[in-house]
Amino acid sequence: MTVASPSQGILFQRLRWRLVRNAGTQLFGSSRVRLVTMVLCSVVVCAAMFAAAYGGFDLLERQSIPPGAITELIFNAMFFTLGAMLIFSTGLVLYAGLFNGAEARFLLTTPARADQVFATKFQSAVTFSSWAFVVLGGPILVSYGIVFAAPWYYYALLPIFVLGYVLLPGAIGAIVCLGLVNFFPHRRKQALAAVILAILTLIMYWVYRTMTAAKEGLNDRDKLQGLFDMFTLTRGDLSPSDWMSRGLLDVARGDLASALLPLTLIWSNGLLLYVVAAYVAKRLYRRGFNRMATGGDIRQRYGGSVADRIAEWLVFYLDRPTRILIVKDFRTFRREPAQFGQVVIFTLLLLLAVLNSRQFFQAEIPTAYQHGLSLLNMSATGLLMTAYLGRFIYPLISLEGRKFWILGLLPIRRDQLLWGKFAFAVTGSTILTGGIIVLSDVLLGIPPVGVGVHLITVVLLAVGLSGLSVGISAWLPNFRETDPSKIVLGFGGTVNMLVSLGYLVLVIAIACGPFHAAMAAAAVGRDGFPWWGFAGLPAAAALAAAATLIPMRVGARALRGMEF
Amino acid sequence: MTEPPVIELTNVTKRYGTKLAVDDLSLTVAPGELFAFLGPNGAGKTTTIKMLCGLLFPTSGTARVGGFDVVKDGDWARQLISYVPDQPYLYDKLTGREFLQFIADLYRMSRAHAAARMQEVIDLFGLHEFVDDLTERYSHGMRQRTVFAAAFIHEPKLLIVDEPTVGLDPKSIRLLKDLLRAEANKGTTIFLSTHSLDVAQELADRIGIVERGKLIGLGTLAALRKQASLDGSLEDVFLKLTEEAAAERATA
Repeated sequence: MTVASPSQGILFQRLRWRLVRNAGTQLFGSSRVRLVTMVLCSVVVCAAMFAAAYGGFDLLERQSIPPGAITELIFNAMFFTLGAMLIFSTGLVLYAGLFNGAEARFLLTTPARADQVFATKFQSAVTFSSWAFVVLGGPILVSYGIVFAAPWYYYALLPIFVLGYVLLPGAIGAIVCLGLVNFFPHRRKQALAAVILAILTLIMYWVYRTMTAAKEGLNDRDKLQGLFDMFTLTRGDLSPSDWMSRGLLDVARGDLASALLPLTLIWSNGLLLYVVAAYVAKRLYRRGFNRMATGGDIRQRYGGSVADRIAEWLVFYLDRPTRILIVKDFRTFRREPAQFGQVVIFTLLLLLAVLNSRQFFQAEIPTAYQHGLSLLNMSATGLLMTAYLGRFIYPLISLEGRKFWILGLLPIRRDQLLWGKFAFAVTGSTILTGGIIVLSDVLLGIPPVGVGVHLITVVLLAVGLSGLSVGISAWLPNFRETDPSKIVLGFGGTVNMLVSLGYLVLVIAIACGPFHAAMAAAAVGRDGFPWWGFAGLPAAAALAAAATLIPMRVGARALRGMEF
Repeated sequence: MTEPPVIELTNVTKRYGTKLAVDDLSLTVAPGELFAFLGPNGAGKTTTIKMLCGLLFPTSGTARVGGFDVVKDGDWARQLISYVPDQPYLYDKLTGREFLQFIADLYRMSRAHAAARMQEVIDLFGLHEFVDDLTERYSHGMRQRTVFAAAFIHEPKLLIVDEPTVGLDPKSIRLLKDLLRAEANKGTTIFLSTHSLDVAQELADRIGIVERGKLIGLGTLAALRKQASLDGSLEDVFLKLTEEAAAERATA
């Protein structure tokens, strides 16, 4: 009897499974240290998130505050933010995979169906886009279940809810990506900018409307209600983030029957949108590939730009050869829309959050809220910096790849290459996030000394996180990979991301924690600002020095010994 | 009765924005023919190949493979094709054997037939020593041999090869040339794009010379010599025809 070949769907699933299995065998089979390091780092970050979330939920429990409305608000905001980011992130990763990748070019010359190629790339993109959520959001959801004694099936249903949910924004991102490439093949940067602007304008309009509505009837008693009102968009019956939070809270309460409707809504809508995206891919993927490859002149003209000159000017304190290398890195970065697009989106979203955090209050902001919000903004900004350095600076050394011989033959010391990338990373991230923090603090009315503490924290974060990203990337390079997103997902990239997140939490807790606690103590007491308010700064500086020097030295040693 | 052509390009034009890459190209290649497609850099060879594979669509005109329009019935046309590009792709985290199995499945070969063919191509290209290693460890020559094995495993009607000899050692080049000739003799149509004029001269049944997207010479070596009024090597003929075309364009 003749055994037929598998369908393309099964074939591609099998291919992915083999690729993951072989990569895993190679990664962990050769070195147990890698496995242990990876597991340990993940456990540390998950534990930190778990502890923070557990503390918060436990406080609600101990204060006998009914968790329903507040938790629903937190979950709504979390899932809404995740959804918004997944739309952009999946769209950008898919763009790189479908239209810029060597694998896609290969598959398009075979009988592989366009929608099948799309499906396999879609799965990779969604997995890549949402893994950070699993590491960071998972512990929050688990801690909620533990504090409020959720039944066992709450934990069993968690991955089913999350898996269904990521399909929705992922599919929307995919449809936008295919649409842009097909209808604006050579104006896609401008079109993407227009889409982002339109979405941001809509969000701003929404915030303005809800704030106005909240303020109209606002008095002291209604402040909390005003806060809830601001999230009406995330809480409507048609909002997927609301389905998620309502469904999970129902399950956690043991009301499985009520949870079925939101779960069904999530999956049915997610699958429907996915099928629509696959249909669009079937009709438009090959057409889009052709249009993008040939819609404009075969040779585009590129040249220097003002941005390059600014980048070089910002690192004026370095010698010329190092500055030239930095401009080369910057130029590569700015010519890759999938790279800088993510930074722009995250920065704009963060700016939006910062600008609107002031809108909670009509006049004076209570001190506790001031400090709480500024600390929240500081954490979000630190997270942006971690993502920026991990996603864009970390792959730089690995991306030199097969071209490493060019650098190897240059008449400069290899340490210099490393410190050049470090300087580039520190300068870029400090400027990007320092501005946001100053703006946030000024809007919130934080005193100058507080702005100073936050700025010092930003510098310490930039220095330490840059040292980690550049040092670990030289220590654990992946010269075989040409796709930066895959470099980030590799062993070194994962270690870097997890260690960086741990560093971020530690530095903010050590540097800013005592200051804000001291401010709170000064506000309720009569003894003025206590001495220990600044005690965390030297400790955080020592931590930053260690986070910079240790990985940079290890990385430099590895780079010096590298053959090409 | 004459068999229908495997490749049939009819008035194919391809533009990159304002630039004309392929200009009103009409060409047929018969079953079992080894056709060499020559031209200077940027002449439109790779664009033509990409249109045959369905990666790019003609701006005007039609491209057919095995009677199937590559735009309308691309999935059927690609079922008949194997394409070996100048920079072939292999999954780094698959072994050579797993890659061959993936290709066999993609072309819907039965398990038994795929297993038999896999053994044949492994023997033919001498892959035994490394076929169970991850391809990321392969040298350039090993990668080329694996890609050719994958191209042959499903016995394509049309094999399209772009610069096949780059990076191969003399023994491998000899093996490849013998193989291409033998496959053509068995009935496989081979569309060979190369800058190695000695390879084209040695192997090709017919030769097409393209310059600035236009077909400026087509036929056997003897016919091209006649067209160029020159009794030299293919290199001499190629240089004369392309220079004449450039001069003609300059005076036009």
